[in-house]
Amino acid sequence: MFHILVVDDDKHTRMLLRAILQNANYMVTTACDGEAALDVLDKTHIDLVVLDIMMPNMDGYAFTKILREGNSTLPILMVTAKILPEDEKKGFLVGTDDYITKPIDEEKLCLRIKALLRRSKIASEQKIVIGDVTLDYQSLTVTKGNETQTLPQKEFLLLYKLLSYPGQIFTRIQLMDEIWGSDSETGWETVTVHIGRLRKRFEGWEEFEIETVRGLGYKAVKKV
Amino acid sequence: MIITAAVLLAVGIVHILLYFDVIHSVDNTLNLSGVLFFMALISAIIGLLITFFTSRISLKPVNQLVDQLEQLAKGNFKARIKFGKPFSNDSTFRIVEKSFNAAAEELEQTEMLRSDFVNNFSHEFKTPIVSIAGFAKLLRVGNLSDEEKDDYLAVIEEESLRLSDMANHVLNLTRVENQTILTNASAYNLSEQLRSNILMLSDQWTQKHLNFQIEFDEYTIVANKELLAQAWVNLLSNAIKFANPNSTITVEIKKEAEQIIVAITDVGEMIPPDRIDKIWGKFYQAEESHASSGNGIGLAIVKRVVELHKGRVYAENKTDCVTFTVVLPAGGN
Repeated sequence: MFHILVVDDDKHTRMLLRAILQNANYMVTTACDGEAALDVLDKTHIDLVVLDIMMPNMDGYAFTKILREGNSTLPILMVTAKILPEDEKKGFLVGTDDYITKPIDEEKLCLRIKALLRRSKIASEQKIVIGDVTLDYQSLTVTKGNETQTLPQKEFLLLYKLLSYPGQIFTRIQLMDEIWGSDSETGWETVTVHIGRLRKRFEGWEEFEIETVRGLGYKAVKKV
Repeated sequence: MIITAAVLLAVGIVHILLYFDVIHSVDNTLNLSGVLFFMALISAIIGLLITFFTSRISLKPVNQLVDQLEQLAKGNFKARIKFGKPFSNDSTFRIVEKSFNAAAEELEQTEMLRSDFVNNFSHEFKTPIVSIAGFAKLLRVGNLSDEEKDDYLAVIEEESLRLSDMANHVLNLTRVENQTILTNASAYNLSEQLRSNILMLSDQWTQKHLNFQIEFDEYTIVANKELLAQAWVNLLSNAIKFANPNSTITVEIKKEAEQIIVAITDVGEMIPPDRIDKIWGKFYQAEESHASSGNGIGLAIVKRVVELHKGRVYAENKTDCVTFTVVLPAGGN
């Protein structure tokens, strides 16, 4: 069972988050500010932190910064009333993994937590498993049953990215920026070409598929 | 100028005095100490007279200005100044008079708008709170059927959401309204911005099973990216809100002359024709009955953002759909 740490200075918010997360079968510990949260992390194994930003003593940004500077890859979900784009940017800059605003849509909260935990597992194991298929980041290989193929780097990274966020749509430019780098000379048509190659390579595989969303971009869909 | 005049006057008066034998010249040279004494005395008297007259002439209008400025400072925006006849229409004083009165009038107008807004806003704010508090109390008192409990709780949920959206929107609107000139403009890919914004709202449109029809080329625009993003998000949310489930929202971008035209079309409810101009006002809502989130401030923000960019935005009802069109200068203003 995953253990989640909820950090918020408001008593009722802590109460609410505890209720929502316990209903979703997570173990929950609460803390009222950044310092108390660090104390908990010292003594208990935590899988994910749900973090408010505006707190006394140590706010969410400071807490995240300390964690990241200490090389912790603990998944952090910032849940906050701060809505300005600058606040969101600041959150991502100091190292949060995701950001949602209050009031809390509990369905959205749980979905995001699930995705974060899954991605954290992928990040730490560097593998994606779908049914019989395993993608191994370290070796750039895709294994199905007994057959293993090694992919060219960019093709693999593209597939790995899409499958890390199954169902999420990415634009060609977003994919290009992330995998080829935004300073790269290649245009986003390269993405189209690579997607074409991936589709050809995995044609007929029942485990996943790459779908085109007309006008927007691509998404990977898991079929098992 | 005054010094030269005074000196000339003094010299002139000395000559007059000489002429009238008040001071003597001995051997055709002037009795120096006498002359000096008289010059000093006369300069002093002339200086005093001049000071007296100029201070009397400029004192009255300045006093009036000071008085009315004090009124403004106290919050009485009805203060105005009117200087008397002696000043010509382009003297500095007339300019001061005109500028002061213009500023006071602007303040008076702003005050009116502000109190209107505050009244509206406080009403908009209190209404959901009344529902939330009221229904919560009813629920505690008890004695309700399961259906009633469900209904009341649904209302509390809905109204809370409405309040929160309103808070967000008002914050955005205040920020946008406090800008009079466009700052932070940069060149960026507008097409990619629209695609990203559409993706950001994917939760909302997948819920209604909507499709997006977007086939456009890549366009670059010079504008404030953050502000335009807000405008697109508001327009897109609006389109999503009013679109029929399972329908298609079309987004088009065109470039004509030096302008970029973005059109967002949704298939759904028309805007009542008699109100098509009013939708841009704050707090306007097409349907007064249902508690739609956003409270109408979203479009007011769009209008303000577009105006800041020196563009324009308008809505049109077509056969079975509604199109919102935004026209913006492509290369910045």
